[in-house]
Amino acid sequence: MNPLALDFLAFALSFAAFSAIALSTERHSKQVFGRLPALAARHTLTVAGWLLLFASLLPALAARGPSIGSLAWLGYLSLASVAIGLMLSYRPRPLRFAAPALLGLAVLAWGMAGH
Amino acid sequence: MRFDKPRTFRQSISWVHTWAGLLLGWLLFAVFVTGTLSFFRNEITLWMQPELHRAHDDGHAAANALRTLERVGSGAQQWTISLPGPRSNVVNLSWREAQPEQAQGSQSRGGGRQQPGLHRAVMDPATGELIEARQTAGGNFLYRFHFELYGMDRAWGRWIVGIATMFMFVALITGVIVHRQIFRDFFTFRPAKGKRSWLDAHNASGVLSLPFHLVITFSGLMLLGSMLMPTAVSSAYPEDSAAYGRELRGLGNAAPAPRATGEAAPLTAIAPLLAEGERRWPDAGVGSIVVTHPGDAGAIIELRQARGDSLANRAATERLLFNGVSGKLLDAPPAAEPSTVRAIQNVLSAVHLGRFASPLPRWLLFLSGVLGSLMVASGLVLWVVSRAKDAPSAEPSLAPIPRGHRLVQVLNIAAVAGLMIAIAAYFWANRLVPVEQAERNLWEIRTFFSAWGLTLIHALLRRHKRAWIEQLVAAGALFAALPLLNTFSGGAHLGHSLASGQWQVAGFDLTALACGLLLFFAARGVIRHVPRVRPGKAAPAARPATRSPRPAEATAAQAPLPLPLRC
Amino acid sequence: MKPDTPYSTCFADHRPSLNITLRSVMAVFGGYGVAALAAAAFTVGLPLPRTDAVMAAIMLAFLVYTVAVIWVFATATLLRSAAGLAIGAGAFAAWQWLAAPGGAA
Repeated sequence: MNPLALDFLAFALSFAAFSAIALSTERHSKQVFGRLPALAARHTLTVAGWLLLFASLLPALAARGPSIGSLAWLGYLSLASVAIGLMLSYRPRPLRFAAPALLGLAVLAWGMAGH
Repeated sequence: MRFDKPRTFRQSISWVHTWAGLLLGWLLFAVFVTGTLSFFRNEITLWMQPELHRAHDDGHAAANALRTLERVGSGAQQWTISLPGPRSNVVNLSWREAQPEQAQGSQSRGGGRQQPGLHRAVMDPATGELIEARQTAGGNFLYRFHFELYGMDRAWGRWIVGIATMFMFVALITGVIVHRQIFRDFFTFRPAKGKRSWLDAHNASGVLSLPFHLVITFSGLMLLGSMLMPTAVSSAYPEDSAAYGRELRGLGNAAPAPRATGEAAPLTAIAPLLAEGERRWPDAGVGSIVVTHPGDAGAIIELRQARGDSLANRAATERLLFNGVSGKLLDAPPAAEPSTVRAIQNVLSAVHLGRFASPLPRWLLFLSGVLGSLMVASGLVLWVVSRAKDAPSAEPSLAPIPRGHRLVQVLNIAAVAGLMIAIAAYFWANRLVPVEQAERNLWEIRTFFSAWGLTLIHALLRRHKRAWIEQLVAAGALFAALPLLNTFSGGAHLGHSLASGQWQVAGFDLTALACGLLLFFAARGVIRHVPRVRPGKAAPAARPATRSPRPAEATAAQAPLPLPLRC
Repeated sequence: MKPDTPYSTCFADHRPSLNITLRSVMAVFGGYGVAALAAAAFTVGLPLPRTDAVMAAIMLAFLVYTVAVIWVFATATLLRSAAGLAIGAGAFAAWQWLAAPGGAA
């Protein structure tokens, strides 16, 4: 399998993870949604964020083995959080769609590369 | 902060963080930037030898190399062929002539180990012609500078960088302790809020790749470790400290050298051997070929995997040994499994040295290095910003800047913007110094340091804000124009390098362009900067709205946002 | 640490610049001394093959250095800073002396 599809999937998962974690906070969810979501929804986002964070390690390991894979994973985490930080500072609204869109694309690419 | 007064733990640690970061911060920035560039030192060297840009691989590199070596290196004891790959588009050849036993190797000035009887050459993979490339210090100068500086004894340079690295490590650990809340305010960046923005930028660039910063700093200490902590070596090897290095290197390569028979015999065809290598290593492929006793009946051909798959053994590569005449596969010595401590050490050093197969992790490390450089630079600026007077500096003569603050301001400009100019000037010198100039590589290095020195003088002479703007614009222009310089001084221009998939050269040009644009962006930020006024603290007459605009702030007056928010 | 707890102080504690200078000297040189002793102690004290022990000792020594620096600046008085360094140095020196081949080498 092409490791680039898995790399992209790892990046998209970590992007989604950090988006969820950011949106679970009061400040950033107001920035993105324009209002504060219900507490239960924010808790769900926190849990989903952490789960996605661990999930993003798996494709990275699958693509590049334990040592380089975990190193690359840390790189994706940095890259994803920098991207989200910049979006939150300058263009917060599109963050609502960015993570699901990216994740969808990545799964699509992964599926196509698998066959 | 006073240590003679009662204070909290956080306050003490904050003091350590500030001063450990500032004291050697300028040196640390230079080490971080040149070290980050060193992840691509092969690519930088290639860019700096435009004679090599036209070379391309058509799949016959190995056969061509063997033919060329038969011509230029006949009678040599050993041939080494480094094949083109993702990091190089040429073949590097070397051949060693038989030497008396005791001839080992001697240090030479300007990098590298000069071995008697060893010849090196660069070959075009498609034609098999040797290419005479210009003399250049290349990416190697930046690489060497980042851990042993320049113009002094190597041991001195390493000690200075080692001490700076220790300061960095202390600054990182204390930074994490001080800014515990960074893990809560992970993504918080509030632009145009003065000191707050700088603090946000410093925190974000620090925490977003904190694992990288910790690993790169700690592994840097570790790589210099046996020199910085000699007691560790001397207490284990009381009689002879050099035995440690020998014992370290001795692991894993104990194969006895094969002997020549003295009988002439032609080498076998290389293609089937390469096919076997590609079959064994479908991902990495064959990286290099070593032929021992070519032309002899006892010849051995060794294929080495292009890159290793695991950092735990320092990305050590697998090898295949063949009988050089019959082409039969020989039994290779099995690779030893590293111990746990060794594996940790190997992973850390392999990350620091960027030993990976694919370009993707390398780019991720490069970006983390950029973030690290931004962290150091924003920390340096933060020191100045958080000590600036709250009142706007509209009348600078009324409130003279303390001498210490002015010193930090000047050093910040020369160390951050000035270094960018120096690096860009180094690349410009590479193309503008005549090819036939004697000591050409030294002239490149001299340009680097002269440019850097000039930026320091400039920062001393100009007003703080003007100096920042002028140097950032100059650095931006020098970087952004590098692709043009490349085009007009014999290199492969972007249109060519992108079209022919020459990623090493195209990557350099595009990165230089991006770096130039970022520097322009930074310059724009400084141009629009207006000192923030805290309501209630400054005198009403000093509010920006009632102030007559100074030339530097005239641009800011046209900014779309209300002035007090711009900073 | 409660800031108002009374500790025994010496005259240098009450002079701001002397206090900071002494702490910096203790952190840089004293901390290095403790780290160097720690490196020697780990090398002979850790149950590892020789090369592995040296590597581990070097890595651990840098962590000891960092902790020592933080200790020197975090304590309330200079006396406590110095005492901490002295105890650390003494402990590592004793460990090395006990663990060294031959016992008292």
